[in-house]
Amino acid sequence: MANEVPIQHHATTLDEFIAPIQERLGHGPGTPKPVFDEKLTITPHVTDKLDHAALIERFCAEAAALGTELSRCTRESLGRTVVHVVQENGAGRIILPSQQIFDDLQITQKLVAHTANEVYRWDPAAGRERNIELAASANIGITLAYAAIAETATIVQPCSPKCGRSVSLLPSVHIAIIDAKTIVPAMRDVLARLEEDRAAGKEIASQTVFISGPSNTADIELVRVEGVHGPTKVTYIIVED
Amino acid sequence: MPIIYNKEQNLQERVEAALADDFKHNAIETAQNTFHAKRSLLVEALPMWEEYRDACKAIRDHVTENLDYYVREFATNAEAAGYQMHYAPTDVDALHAVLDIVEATGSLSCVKSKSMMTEEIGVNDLLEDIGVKCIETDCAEAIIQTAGDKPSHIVVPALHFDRKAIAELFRQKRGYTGTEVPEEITHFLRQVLREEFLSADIGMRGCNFAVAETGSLTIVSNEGNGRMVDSIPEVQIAVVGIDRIVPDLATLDVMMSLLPRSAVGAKITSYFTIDKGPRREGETDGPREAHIILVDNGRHNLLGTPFQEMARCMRCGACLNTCPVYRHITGHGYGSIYPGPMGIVLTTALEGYENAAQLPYACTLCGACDDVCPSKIPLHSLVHEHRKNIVAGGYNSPVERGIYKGAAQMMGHMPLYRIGTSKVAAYGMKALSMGGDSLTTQANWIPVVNGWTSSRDIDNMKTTQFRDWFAKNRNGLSESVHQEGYTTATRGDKTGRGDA
Repeated sequence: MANEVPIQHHATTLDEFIAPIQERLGHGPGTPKPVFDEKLTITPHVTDKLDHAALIERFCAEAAALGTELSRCTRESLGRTVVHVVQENGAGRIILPSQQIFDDLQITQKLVAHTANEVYRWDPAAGRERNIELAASANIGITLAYAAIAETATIVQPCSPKCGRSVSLLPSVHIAIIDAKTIVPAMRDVLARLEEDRAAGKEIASQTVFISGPSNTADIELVRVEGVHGPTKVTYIIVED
Repeated sequence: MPIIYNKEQNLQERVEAALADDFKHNAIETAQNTFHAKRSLLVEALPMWEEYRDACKAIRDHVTENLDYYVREFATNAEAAGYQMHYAPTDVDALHAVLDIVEATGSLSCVKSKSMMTEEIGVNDLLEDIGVKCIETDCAEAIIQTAGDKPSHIVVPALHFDRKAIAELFRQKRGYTGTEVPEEITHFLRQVLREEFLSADIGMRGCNFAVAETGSLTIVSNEGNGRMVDSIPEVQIAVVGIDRIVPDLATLDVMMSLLPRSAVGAKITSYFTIDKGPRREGETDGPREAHIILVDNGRHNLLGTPFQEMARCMRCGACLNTCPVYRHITGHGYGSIYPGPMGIVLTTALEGYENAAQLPYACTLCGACDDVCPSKIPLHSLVHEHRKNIVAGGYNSPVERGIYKGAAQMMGHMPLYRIGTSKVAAYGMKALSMGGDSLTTQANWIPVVNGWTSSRDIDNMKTTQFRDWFAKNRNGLSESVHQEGYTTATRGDKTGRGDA
């Protein structure tokens, strides 16, 4: 039932596209910016009244409910914890962003010294083919979350030249490191932080993903199956000071 | 037009076919029960649910009432973010835009994540016609595409296949050798589709909410195919309806508090992605070029009519999951890519009464859909509105018009009314019912009446009219009720005689 597509075709301009909408609304050309009541966006959340310690507990409880594994550690023990979580998830290549912080936190060094896994750093200079190929054949991808949401045990992962979209997507296992300080009550607070960044002149990423657990489906007889197109398993590591 | 995919059968034929398929409507029943129960639990745990709904309605209405402004703001900011914009007043224009992009990039293959807008413009058929390999990557869509079938639900479109049928389908068409276990089938799909993702030229997607202030697109997904389409192919095409726009990032909080809970009874989906433009300098994955095809396809015609409220619809499927009619006739009963209550209202509004005058009658006007709609669309009132327009515009059947014309004449004419409700009619019914108390299947030979009697009984009219009885008995009411056994006065109302 394909539409008949005539050969002749005129590319519609934005003005032409908007004209019938404007006409139906009875608006003149050059509609002024409508006044939007920002208060509408400030909605309460069940996590609002929790103090920070309770927020972290809530995050952990929600993660457990989603079936997401979780470890807690301090800044000092982070390297050891990452090594331990990697060992639990088997052999194979690890893909690591090339952000300096992974070295500052001793993660890279500890992984190289204490695991037999091959460690590949996402390399902006290596080009698309190689980065994607190595990420696709990696067993584990490790990222540092931008923020985390207590209400839904969600982590927020923006992409950047040093941490491609594929790092948290193509490997079978995704290990996300969360700075406990960045755990906020609701999605509202992350969006507000993105807005603040934007107001401060920091462009939001070309892709920001809110991740809540492993990829899954219930498309066959509503039976939940984990591991569809994204990681089969997601593990969080919360770093508290 | 691809919105209505089944024009060969009329509503009644489609309904009969769906009802005859026990597996199909049992599957829908189970799905409804599951989704409805999960959603109810979450909603009950949220004291601010109604606040969210009100906020959602207010935000979306604000955009609709200023749609000219917001389309321009979104388009301008998206272009500034690096998107190549294409404006499609109709589905054909949208297909032209797709063709242009395919030609300009020399693309030969396309991976798609689930999108109602691409269904609406019928892009799969076009790509097939021009020899571009088009792969649906949502598990359910992959099943539907392999089977050459049509979706039965907007969120879980392959509910009408059981595991046995799916395993067999993949054995025959995709070289599957495994068992019927859903996990094994799904992991097989992961494997075969992974290769497609890594080699496809184009990633095609829809959009859940388009953010005007930042020119961003968003996509909600559980399987991760949305992320794959968004991250791997070099060329991205997003097909976006003008009714997807929200003012700014902050408004996404309300939308995302409502959408996953309403759609699948979950607090959140595995992935919610906010995109802004193609990959930036130094980035080595994500699309090299990203296109947005902004589609109107008749939506502007709804502005200024009661149906503009449909612009709030976020395609969650909550109304389908609660509808007693959908439960029985399934998505295929509607014959439209948009089934259920939202489907009736939207399909009829977009396709016109010439093409869809039957659909608004696939509804009992019970209003259960209104109660669950996250954006508070008065769905059943809009279905009723369609019916009024259908009758006023003369789109209903000549038989129906004749019956109502006759009935109106009789009701408005005292002598005729008396004959119609007299012993003559009562004895007539008694004769038709072979001396019984009601018309049942034995009246199935009578046209029009059989629409009712094929599944229900009609009580016969009484030979004594209430007004006669009342005149005779008004003085000794309490005794006579029992003496004459006249206890069916309220049932008499049903047969249209309750004017006393």
